[in-house]
Amino acid sequence: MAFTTSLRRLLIGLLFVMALCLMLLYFNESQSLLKPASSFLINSFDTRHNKLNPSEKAWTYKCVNQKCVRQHYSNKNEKRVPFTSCSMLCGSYSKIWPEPTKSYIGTSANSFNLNDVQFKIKTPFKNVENLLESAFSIFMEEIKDIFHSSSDRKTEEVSKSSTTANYKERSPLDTKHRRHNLTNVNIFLYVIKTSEIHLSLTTDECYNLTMINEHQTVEVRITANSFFGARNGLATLQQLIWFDDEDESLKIIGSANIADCPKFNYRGLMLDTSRHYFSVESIKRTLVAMSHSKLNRFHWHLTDSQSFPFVSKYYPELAQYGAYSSNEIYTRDDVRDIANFAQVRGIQILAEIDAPAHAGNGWQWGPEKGLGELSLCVNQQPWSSYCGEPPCGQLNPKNNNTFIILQRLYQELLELTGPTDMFHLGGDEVNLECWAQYFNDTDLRSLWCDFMQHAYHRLTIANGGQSIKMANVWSSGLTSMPCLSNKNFAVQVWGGSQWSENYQLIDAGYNLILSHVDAWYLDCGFGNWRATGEAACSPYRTWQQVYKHKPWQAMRLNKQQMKQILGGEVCMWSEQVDESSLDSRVWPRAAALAERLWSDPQDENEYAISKETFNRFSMFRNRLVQLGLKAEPIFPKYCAQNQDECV
Amino acid sequence: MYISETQDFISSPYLTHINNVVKNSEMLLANYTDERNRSSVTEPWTYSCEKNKCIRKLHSDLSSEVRVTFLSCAMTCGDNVNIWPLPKSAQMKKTIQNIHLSNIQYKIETPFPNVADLMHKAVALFVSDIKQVMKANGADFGSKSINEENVTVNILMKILEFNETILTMQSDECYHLFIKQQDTSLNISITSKTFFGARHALETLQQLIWYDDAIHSLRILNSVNINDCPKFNYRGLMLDTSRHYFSVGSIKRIITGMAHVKLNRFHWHIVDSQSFPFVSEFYPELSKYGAYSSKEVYTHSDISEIVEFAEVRGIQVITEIDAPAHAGNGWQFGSEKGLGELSLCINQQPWNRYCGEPPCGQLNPKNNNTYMVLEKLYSEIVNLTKTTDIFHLGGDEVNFDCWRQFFKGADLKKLWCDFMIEAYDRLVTANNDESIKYATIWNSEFEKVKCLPAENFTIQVWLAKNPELKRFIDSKYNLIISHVDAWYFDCGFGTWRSTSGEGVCPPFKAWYTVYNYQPWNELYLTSEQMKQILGGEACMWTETVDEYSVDIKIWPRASALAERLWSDIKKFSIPVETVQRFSIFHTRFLDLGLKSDVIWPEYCEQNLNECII
Repeated sequence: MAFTTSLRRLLIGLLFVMALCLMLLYFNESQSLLKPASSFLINSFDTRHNKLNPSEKAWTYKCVNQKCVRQHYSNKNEKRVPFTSCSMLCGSYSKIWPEPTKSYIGTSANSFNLNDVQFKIKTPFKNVENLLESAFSIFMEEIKDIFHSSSDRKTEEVSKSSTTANYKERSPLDTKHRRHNLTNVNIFLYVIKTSEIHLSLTTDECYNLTMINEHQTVEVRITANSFFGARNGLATLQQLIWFDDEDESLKIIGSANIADCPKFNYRGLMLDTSRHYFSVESIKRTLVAMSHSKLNRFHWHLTDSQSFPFVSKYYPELAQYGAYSSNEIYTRDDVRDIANFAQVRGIQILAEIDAPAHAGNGWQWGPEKGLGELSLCVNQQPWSSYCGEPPCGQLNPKNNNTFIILQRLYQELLELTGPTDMFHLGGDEVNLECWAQYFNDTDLRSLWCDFMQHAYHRLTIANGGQSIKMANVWSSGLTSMPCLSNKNFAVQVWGGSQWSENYQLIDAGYNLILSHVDAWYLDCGFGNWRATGEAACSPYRTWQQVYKHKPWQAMRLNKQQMKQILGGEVCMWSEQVDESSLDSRVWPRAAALAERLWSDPQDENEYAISKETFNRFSMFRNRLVQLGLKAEPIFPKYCAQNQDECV
Repeated sequence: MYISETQDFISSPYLTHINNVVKNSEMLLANYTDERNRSSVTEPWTYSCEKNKCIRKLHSDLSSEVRVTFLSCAMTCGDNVNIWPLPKSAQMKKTIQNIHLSNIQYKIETPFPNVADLMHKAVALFVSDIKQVMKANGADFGSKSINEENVTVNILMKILEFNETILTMQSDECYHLFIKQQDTSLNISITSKTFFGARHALETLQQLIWYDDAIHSLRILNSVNINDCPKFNYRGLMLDTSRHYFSVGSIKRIITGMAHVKLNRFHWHIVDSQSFPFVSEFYPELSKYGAYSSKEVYTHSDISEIVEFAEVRGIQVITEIDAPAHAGNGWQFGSEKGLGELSLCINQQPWNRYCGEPPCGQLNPKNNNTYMVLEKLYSEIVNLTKTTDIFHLGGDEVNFDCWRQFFKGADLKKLWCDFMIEAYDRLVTANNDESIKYATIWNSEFEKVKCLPAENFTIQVWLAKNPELKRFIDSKYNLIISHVDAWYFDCGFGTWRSTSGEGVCPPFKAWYTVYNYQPWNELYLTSEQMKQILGGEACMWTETVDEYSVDIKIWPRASALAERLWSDIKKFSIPVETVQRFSIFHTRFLDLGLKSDVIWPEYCEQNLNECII
C-alpha cells in the first residue's frame, strides 16, 4: 500500500516536472518570437494550400531587356535564378502595388534571416507605439508564413519531425542555415506628428521609406506623420521582401527611397452580409488583402431586408427574427473583434444599417412587444410591386419606436467601431408604393426626407450629442432633390458613370464616394437570379475595367470640385456570392481599384494596360495567394512565368 | 452467382476493410477536409406545410411543438420529387420513417465478382456520404435519437446482366429503386443490369435520406417506386489542366461532384501549348520541358489513382493529348535528342499571327517522330485509363500560317487531314490493333475539310450551329454537343490579354442558360438520327481559373447540365418546381462537403416560394 502511494506521488511529481518543462519550453519559444500575438493577429483561416509557386526547379530566369525570360535549367554550374528573384530585380519599374507616388528601388538584394530582423519605434505617443508594435508583429507573422509555405525544407522537416521530434533544432529559421551573405535588417519606425489611431477624413497616410545597405546591414527607415502612414510604409516594405527557393532564404531589396501619399482619402470595399452570411474569418481574410492593397475603408452593409445578423444588446429580437440561423450572426464581440483586427491594419469599419428601405426580416416583432409596426410590407407579395428584389420591407416612418431602435443600433455600432467622423445611413431605394398603402394623404417623398433627417438627428444623439461630420447615403431620388444638407451628408454614387446625377450632385455641393455600377460593382455579370432575362448589371467588370475607370477625368472636374470626391469604393453585393466564392469575386479586382485610388497613375495608352502594370499586378496577385486569399488568376500560369509574352 | 452475406452498415467487416483501404490509400475518398464544416442547421426556424408550400416561422423555445426542419417539411410537402437529376418516373408517398445508421443492412446479388467488389466500394461511399450529410446537419454521433425506433433497413442490390465496370457507348445505366415498409422492416430493392445503374440508384437513394436536427434522427421516405434511365449516354465535363495546373485532390473533388449528379465522362484536356504536365514514361522530356514545375505534373500513378477514383463513381476518364495544334511547350526537345523538330512555331511572336492565344505551337506533320511520340503517348493513356470505345484526339484550331512558313506550296488542309488519319492509325496500333469507334475531335476544322470517315470519328461540336450541325448529322457523324454559347463555363470574365474588346465568349452562362439549352429540339431529327447525338459536355477552360476558383465556376452549373442530359425535360422556361428542387439539391451538394457557387440569396433558400415572380 505504502509502495503504491509513493509510486503515485512519484508519478504526480514527474507529471508536475514535465508540465513545468513544457511550460518553460513554451515560454522560451514565445520569447524567441516577437511579442506574444493577441487574438487579432492570427489569421486562423487555412493557409496550408498556399503553394502557389511550388519551387520551379526546372526553370531559371534571365533578365533580358527589362523582362524575365524563362529558360530550361540545364547548366548546373550556373546558379539557378527563380522567378521571384528575377522579377523583383529586373526592369526599372517599381514592384509595388499600389504604385508609390515617387520611388527609387535598387536592383540588388540580400538574404536575411527572420531572427536578424530588429525594429525600433520612435514616437512620443504611447497608443501609437502599441498599435505599431502590433502592426509590426503582423508584418513578421506574415513573412514567416510566406517563408513556411514556400520552403520545401519546412515541409520535409515537418514530416520528419513526427518521428524525430527535433524539428525545432533544424528549423530553417535557425542560424544553422546561414550560408549566404546574410544581413541584419534594422527597421526604424518614426511617427512624429499625431497621436490619432482612428482613421478620419483628414488623416495623413503618407510615409517616407528609405533603405540603405551598409556592412552586412540593411537599415530601413519609415517616417510618417501618423500611425496609418507608418503602417502603409510597412505594407510597402513587405513587398520588397520575398522568398528565394534556390537559396532557400528570404531576400530583401538593398536600397530604396520612396515618398508615397494616397490621392484619395476614402478607398473602400463594401461587403453585403445580409443576402448571404459571411463568417468572421472570411471577413478577416478580406481585411488582410485590403491592408496589403492599402484600401482603408471596410463598408459593412450589415443588414438588409433578407436578414439581420447583428445581435443588438438592446434589441436581440432583431437577430432572433432576422438571422438565417442562430449560427449565422455577428455578436458584439464579433464586431469589436473585426474592428480591432481592421484598425491595426489601417482600416476603418463603417457599419451600415440600411434604412428606411432594405429593412424587413428582423423587424417583425414590434406589435408583439407593444411597439407597433416597426417595418411595413415585410415579405409582402407580389414583391415586384413593393420593392426592388424579394423579400420586401421598409421601416415605418411614423412610428417613433422605429427611431428609438435605430438610435440604439447607431449607438452600439459607434461604441464598437468608433470614434469616427463618418457613418453610413443607407437611405436608398425607397418604394413609395409600399408606404402609399399606409399613408394615403401624405407627400411620400417628404416622408422619406424627414426620415433621413430624423435618422441623422438620432445618430447625433447616439454619438453623445456630437454631430458626425459626414453621414453617407446612397444616391437615389432623394439625393437629387433639395432635402439633405451637403454640410452633413455625403453621397455614395452608384448609378452609371454617364448619368447626369454625377454632375448634379457635384453642382449641389455634395461630397461624393464613387461606386459606379458600370465599373465598380463586383457582383455584376452572373445573370439574373430572379428569372430569366437580363441581369441587373451585366456584364462582368474585368480588373482592367475596374482599373481604367477614372470618372474624375471624364467629368473634367476643376480643382475645387475635385475636393468633393472623397474617393471610391467597390461593392460586393451578395445575392450570388457566399464565403466560398468571396475571395475569387473580390480579388484581385479590388486591388485594381486600390491602385486607381491610391496613385491614380497616368497611363500612356488610354485603352490598353501596360506590360509593366500586367507584370506588377500578376506579382501582387501571387502575393495575395501566398497570404491565403483565393484570388483569381489574371491569365494562364504560362503568362505569369513568361513576362510580356501574353500581352 | 455471388450473393454477399448480409452486411451491417456499421459493423460490416467488409465496409471496415474498405474504410481502411480508403484511409490508407485515399483512393476512394477525395481529400477535402481542409474546408470548414458547413452547418445547415436552421434553428430557430420551424416550417409548416401550407397549401403545398413550406412556410418559415420562428419557433418559440416555449412551444410544446417539436420544431420542423426545412428538409423534413420540404421532403413531404407538395408534389415535388426532390431528386436531382429528376428520375424518368417516380411515384412516392410523402411518408417518413425515422431510421438509424446502425440498423441498416445490405446485400449484393450478382454473378460477377468484379462487380460485387466495386459495388461494396460504392456502398462504402454511400455510407460515408450519409455520415457527411449528418455531420453537416449537426448530428452528434454520440447521442441517441429522441424517437428511437427499431426499424431495420434492408438494402438488396441485384446486378444481373453485365460485368462491365468502364463505360461504353452501349452501357445500360438504368435502375429500379423500390422502397417499401412492412411493420418494422423497411425494404429497399435496387435492380439494374450494370454496376452503373446500381450506383446511380444509390445516389438517388442518398437524396431520399436526410438528417433532422430537431429530433436528432436520420429520416427516409418509406414508400418509393422509381424507374430511371438517362436520355443520353455521354454526359461529360471537360477540365483543361494546361492553362493552370490542378492538383489530384482538386480533380477528385470535381469527380465526386460529377458522381452526385450522375455525370459520367471526365474529359481531361491534360496538355496544351502552355504546359505539358503529363509525365510520359517513354518521353519524360515532354513534362520536363513542358510542366510549370516539377511539382505540377501528373505521373502514371496519379492518373491511375484518378481513374480508379472515377471508376467507383461510375465515371470514365477520357484523356486528350490535343494535336496537331495546341502543342508547344514540352515538345522543344526533339532536335536535341536527334528526333528533329517535333513542334513548330513554339512560343513564336507575334503570337496572334500563328495561334489563337499565346504561346503558339503546332506539331510538325512531316516528321515521322512526331507520330512515334504520339503513338507512345496514346498507348500509355489507353492502358492508364482503360480505354473502351472512345478516345479524344483534339484536332482543333490549326493555324495554317504557322505551317506555311515551313511547307510552302503544300496543301495545308490536306496536311491537317492526313495528320488526323495518321494519328488515328497510331491510336489503333496503340490500342493493340483494335479500332476505336468513337475517336473524337473538336469541330473547328471539320467545316473546312470533310475527309475523316464517320464510322471512326465523332465530332465534339463547340461552334457549328444549324445548318452545319444538321449537315454533320446527315453525313452520319456522331456528335457530342458543347456549344460555346451555352456550355462553356469559362465565358463572361472578360479577355485576359488586353483591355479593349470583348472577351472570348461573353456573357457568363448562368445555370438556367445551361439548363435550358436543348439544341436537338431545333434539328427535327428522326429517332434514328437522334441516336447520333451521343450527349453533351460542359467545358472548363482554365485561362483565368485555378484550383481555388474551379469549384465555384463548375458548380452548380454542371448540375444543371446533368439534368438536361439525364432527364431532358422539354420546357421553354424553367418551372418554379425546378428552381426549388435545384435550390434543395444545392444545399445537399454543400452538405456533402463540396463547394459551389450560390444560386440566390440564402433567404430564398429558406423561403422557396418568395423569390420567384
